Amino acid sequence: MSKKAPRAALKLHMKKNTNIRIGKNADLMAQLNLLVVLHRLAEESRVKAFEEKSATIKVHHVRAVAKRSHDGLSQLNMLGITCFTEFRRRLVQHGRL
Amino acid sequence: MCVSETEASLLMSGQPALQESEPNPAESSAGERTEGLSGVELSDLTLHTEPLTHVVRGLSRKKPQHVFSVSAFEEQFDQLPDNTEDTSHVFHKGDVSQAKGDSSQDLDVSSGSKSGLNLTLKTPFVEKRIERAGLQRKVSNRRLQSVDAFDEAVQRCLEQCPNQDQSVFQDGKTLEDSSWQKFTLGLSDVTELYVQSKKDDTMGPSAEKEREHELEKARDIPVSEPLIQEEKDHEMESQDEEEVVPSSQEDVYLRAEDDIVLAPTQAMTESLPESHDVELQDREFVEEVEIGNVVEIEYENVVETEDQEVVEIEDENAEEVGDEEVEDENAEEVENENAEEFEDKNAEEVEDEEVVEADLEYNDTSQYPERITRRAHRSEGGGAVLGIPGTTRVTKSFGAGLNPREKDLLDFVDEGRESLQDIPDEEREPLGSPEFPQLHPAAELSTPEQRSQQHEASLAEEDVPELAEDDDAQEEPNQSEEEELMDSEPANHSPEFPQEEEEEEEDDDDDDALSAELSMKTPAFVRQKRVFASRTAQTTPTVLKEVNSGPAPQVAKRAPRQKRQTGVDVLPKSYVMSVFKHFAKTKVASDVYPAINEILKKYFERLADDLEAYAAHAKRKTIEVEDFELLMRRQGFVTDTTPVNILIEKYLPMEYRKLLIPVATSGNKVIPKQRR
Repeated sequence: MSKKAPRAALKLHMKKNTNIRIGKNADLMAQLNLLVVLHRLAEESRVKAFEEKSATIKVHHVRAVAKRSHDGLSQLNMLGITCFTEFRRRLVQHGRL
Repeated sequence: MCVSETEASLLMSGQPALQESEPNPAESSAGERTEGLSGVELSDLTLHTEPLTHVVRGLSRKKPQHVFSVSAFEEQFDQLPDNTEDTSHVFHKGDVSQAKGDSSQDLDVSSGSKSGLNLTLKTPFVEKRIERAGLQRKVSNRRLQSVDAFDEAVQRCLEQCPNQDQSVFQDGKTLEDSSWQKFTLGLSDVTELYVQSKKDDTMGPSAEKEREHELEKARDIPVSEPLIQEEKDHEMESQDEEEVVPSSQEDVYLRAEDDIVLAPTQAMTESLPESHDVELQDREFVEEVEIGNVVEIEYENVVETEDQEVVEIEDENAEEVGDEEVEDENAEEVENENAEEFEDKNAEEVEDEEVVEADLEYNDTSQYPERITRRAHRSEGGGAVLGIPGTTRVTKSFGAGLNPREKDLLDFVDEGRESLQDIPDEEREPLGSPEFPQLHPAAELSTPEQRSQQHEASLAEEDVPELAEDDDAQEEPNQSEEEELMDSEPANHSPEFPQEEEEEEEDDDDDDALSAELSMKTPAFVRQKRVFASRTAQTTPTVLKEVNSGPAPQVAKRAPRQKRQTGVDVLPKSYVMSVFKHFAKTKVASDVYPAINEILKKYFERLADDLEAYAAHAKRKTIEVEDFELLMRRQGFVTDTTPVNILIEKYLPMEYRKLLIPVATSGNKVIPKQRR
């Protein structure tokens, strides 16, 4: 059941704070990413719900997962970004060597 | 397929060409081709038609083909005797008698084989009507049933026994016819009825057939029509037609007092408000009349002929929206009268009329009308099926007919049953169980037609079983329904029910319209019951509003749409939830959405930042696909072993996939175009 995510909405989100531009099919990738992430989230939530022996996934399950994973998910990214930024900074410092 | 079949049948009969005609021809052409081939082949094998037919039969499953093929076959028939056989083989669902050279036979075969839609062929007209019957907002065929008639019908139904829902229904029709005709005398409204009855008449015969299958309304309308007409004719013609007409006529007659009310059962529904005003001089049901009409009509169908009283009741019901109490009394009386009449049934045309008139006088009390109205009401929106004490019984029988309505009513009825039981008991007595069961099944029958609505059906069904058991038992349910509608208690219930009804009705606003019509058909008693409920039900939207005094109906309506906020909803809830549920593979509480929303919000923010950084790192100003790839890799979704494309194929819908993944097509083209 693959649905079509609203591309416009996705784009809107990505461009929210910044005025950076989005490539042609980048929002598709965004959707892909979103799906993957949601998938991970759902799986983890399901596991968590099982832990509590409940058949349905409740809010607290999801929240608990999100707390942990969001940090986790973003951590890597942040790491990467910080690295990148650091790297760039260094490069700049060194005059773009 | 059924639809196609019907359509095919219609097509065959040359009835209004249905849209399927197009597909049919297409299919048929296909079929023809096959047939043609088979024909060619079979031409030699005509002798072995049987085996071939079997073979062919298995092969040919397309019904629409039949439609077309028939015509084609006809032509073929002329040309080749074999062809006809072939076609017959193809079509034949049943046996393809190898009538060779008999185009007519083939036609028959094909038509017959078409799925044994023989009936359908004949009744294309009816079908059409019926199809639209539900859509019709007015109960054109509403047959105004006098209380007496109603009672009679009820009795008949009761006699017949609950099992025969249909039979009862049919019987009811007959009852109505007989009773109706009797009433032809002295109904001032006859003229009005004529108008409608005429309509009904036309509709009647066909409608009657179809009615049972289709909405009660459809039935009622035709029935009512014929009834009306019959009044004039005073002849119990075809029972089906007559049933309709008599019922309508009876209603008309019964309502002598009610000028307009009875007049055309149809008119009733439509003109209920109008008629009510007029009629309701005596009766207070203005609104209910409509419902009553519907109810009556339904009732008529059920009761059919006999119950002039019923008709009256209906009228009364319609009129007496307000006078539940009185109705109860009258209902009882009416019931009694109906019971009496019911027994007499056929004999007394005059008597019936008289009785009807007499009943009319009672109008208010006639519970039947209340019931009817209630029934109608209920069916409409499960609205206040306040049990009308007397009507309950009647309604019950009608309930069967009023299935759609009744279901609604039933819902309410159940609720109100307890409270209303007291009242119904009273009413029941006069009626006696026999009527009820009859009425009920009849009602059910009628109602279903009128209201195809689900909830109504449920109500009706409930009613039916109830009725079957005992009068009392039946009464209760009906009563509860009716009572809810009509009884004074119903006032209590009515608010409840109307609300409930409203809810239902609101949901069924469309249905309401129908239900209103149905209510009209519902027998008087039903109407009575529904006096309260019917009010709401009749005009469903308006009625409900009236009854429910606003808050309920408004529930359905939301506050004015808020301006779309970009940031509020990250993504449409439906989409998100569906995705989540799909991934979760277990039940997901719907209230997780807000939490997910928050998460997604944060996610997007982070995402944007990251991507920005990536793009900047690549010295680009726009975020590209590669950025995303990198992102996914960092997130661990993409590794050396799982290329990105895999993920793409896995998750994205086809359209998107095409855009992302280069696809090689012939001509050395790659889609999408590769930049490098």
